[in-house]
Amino acid sequence: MRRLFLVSIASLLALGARSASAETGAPAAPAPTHGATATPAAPNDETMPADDTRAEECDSEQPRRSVALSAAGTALAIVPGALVHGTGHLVVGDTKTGLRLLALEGAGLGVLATGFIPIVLSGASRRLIGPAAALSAAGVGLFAISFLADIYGVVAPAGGVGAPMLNAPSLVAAIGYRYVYDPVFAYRNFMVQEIDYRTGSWRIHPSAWFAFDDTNARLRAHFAYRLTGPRPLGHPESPDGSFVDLEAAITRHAFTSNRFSTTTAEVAVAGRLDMARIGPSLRGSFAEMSAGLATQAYSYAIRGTTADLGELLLVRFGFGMYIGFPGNPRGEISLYYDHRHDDYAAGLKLTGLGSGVAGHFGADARLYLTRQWGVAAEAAVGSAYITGLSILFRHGGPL
Amino acid sequence: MKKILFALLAVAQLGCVDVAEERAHRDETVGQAKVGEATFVIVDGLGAVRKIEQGTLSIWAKAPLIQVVATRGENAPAEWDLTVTNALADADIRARIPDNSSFDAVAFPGGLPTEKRWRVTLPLGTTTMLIGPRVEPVGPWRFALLSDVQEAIDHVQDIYTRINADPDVTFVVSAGDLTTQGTDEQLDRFQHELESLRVPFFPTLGNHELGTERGAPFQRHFGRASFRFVYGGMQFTFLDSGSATIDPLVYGWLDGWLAEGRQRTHAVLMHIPPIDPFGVRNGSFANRNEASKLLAMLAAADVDLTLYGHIHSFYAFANAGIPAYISGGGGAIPERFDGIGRHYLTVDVDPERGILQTAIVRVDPD
Repeated sequence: MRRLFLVSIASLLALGARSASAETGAPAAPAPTHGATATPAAPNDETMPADDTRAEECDSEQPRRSVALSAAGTALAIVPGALVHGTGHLVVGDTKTGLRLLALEGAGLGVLATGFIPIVLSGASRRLIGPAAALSAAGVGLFAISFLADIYGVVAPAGGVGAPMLNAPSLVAAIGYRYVYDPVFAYRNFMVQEIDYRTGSWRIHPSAWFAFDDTNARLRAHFAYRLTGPRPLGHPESPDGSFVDLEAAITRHAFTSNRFSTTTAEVAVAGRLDMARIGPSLRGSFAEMSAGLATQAYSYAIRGTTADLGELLLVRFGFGMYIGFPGNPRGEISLYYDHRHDDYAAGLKLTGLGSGVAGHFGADARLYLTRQWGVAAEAAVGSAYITGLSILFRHGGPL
Repeated sequence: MKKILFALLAVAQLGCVDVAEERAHRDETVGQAKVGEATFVIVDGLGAVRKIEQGTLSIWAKAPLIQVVATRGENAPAEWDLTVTNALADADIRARIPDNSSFDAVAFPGGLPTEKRWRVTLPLGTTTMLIGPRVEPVGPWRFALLSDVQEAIDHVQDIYTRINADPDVTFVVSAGDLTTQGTDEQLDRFQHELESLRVPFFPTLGNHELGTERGAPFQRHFGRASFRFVYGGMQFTFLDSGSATIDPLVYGWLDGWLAEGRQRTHAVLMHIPPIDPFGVRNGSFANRNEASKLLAMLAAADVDLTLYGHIHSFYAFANAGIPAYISGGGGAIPERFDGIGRHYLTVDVDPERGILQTAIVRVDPD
């Protein structure tokens, strides 16, 4: 598992580091302020103050393009860009970034082949399937990220549409509603609560889902240690939004009306890379990848039964972009794939012969409208449709 | 262009969560046919009507004993040539008929070990024909499980020869993946190969049968994907898990089938197992929670045995405390390094004592 993560992140970081050092000699700078003032705000100011004396001109790195050229780049980033990633950048003249995205695609295909070919040749042998499946999923992740990055880079305005927060809030509390349509379960409506507390490099993130219309509850305690990346105020600002976390979690999911419950313990490594490290046209976007392993126990409230034990491969990848610059409402939005098969969204169902193996897809968004208050939205599709909103309150957020 | 359209359709269906619903509804229509003023309904859909013309009816049996309800109008012929394929060697025909009427059946030799032919004379009105053995075993008997043949169809006769050599095997059940894509041609070929098997073959479908028209050809050839029958003191419940899920409609049927089977020895079969013994492989239900829901239902109903395919090896384990066997040894790309190879499973049953023993029969050890 560690090898998988290192291969995947190393592919991204190697490209990113090479890019940053070659072009600027330093990690990529945050995005321009787009007209926001550089006046620091008072600590109790409820508006979103601008921070950012480090905002630099990056427009010079990314020449302005004509609308026609951008449109052509966007179209070609899709066809034939779906097969040859980086085509969009090559068309608009950003050869360096285009070739890096093409290399990232190649790395993804290589990792995919390294994982998938043994699966086919071994008939999904129990002796190979763990690392082989993880490599396959990671390869698909790199492939998807390079494709989406190519489109983003030719569509997004110079500097992107947002900048990362360089310090993490020390506390975020959320309460919200989720609608879950799973045809084989009775529940539909949930209240969701979570708290995300950070101190130094540590993070504690308990969350709970309670069904209004069924006796179903999912309680999760998630812990993380940040090896590198944004930490709460009081710690030095991170050069960008990139991070690497070590994660652990324990989840208890009670399906009382269905007479069973599950307990899951997991460990994972999770990372985010600001894509500006790959190329200036990708400023304001990021890629994420995580990998891990879980063990599960399924217990049945039925006399004479014994619990079933199992394992779960954890792989998640995503691509997103920051929204808003310092001094304005800020947040981020991302698309992701999650290989989990044990949460509400679970694995993807297909009408043909490929049902069951893949995990689910989703989109997350969160936007802080003021220094403390924000909203989050989520949608996912796997075995179920999930959609919903949460209200966010944070403390100790970046200024 | 056709391939592009199929690819676009596949993409459009990404994210559909009711993926097995269409097949479940098709199950409800299996075994019903009408020509002129004659209608035939195979009770519980335990057979597929292969051919119907005036005076001719051909059925693929999906259970050792089937009931065919025939309703004859005044303008329908009285004499019918009835062919039942996939029947037990000692299958016979008898009927429940309206008062003051008569039913007659003259047997003709079938062309295959599992084919029965009769010329029946139907009275006006409704007649219920029972087709199957007149007596069921009172002592120990045996059935076999064979699944996941797919591209190994060219060599499947090796397996049938071994099964034919065992006189105790009464019939074969299958957890699916008979073909690679479920096309009509592949299903025809599979049935053609079955002609040498001396006992009936009762399958549900696998995910590979969904490669064409989302499983419709399988249901046209071999009938329902979800069904149940009782034989020799044992209930067999087949569930369509080809999409790594069970449709809610089938869950509704399952409630009743589990209630029926509670007092019997009860085996439940499906293609994709709820839980893969090697969880990281995900050769299991798409939703682990649905897997546990189903297993909780089976355990609460005192199911005695669960049989699966899909994974091309042999695994013996327990799920929710119920003995479980995965046997995907029909020859499809085998799981390497497991030392198993092509195989099938035999299960010995006693009507009074339940399951006596389960054994793996290796056809060509890896």
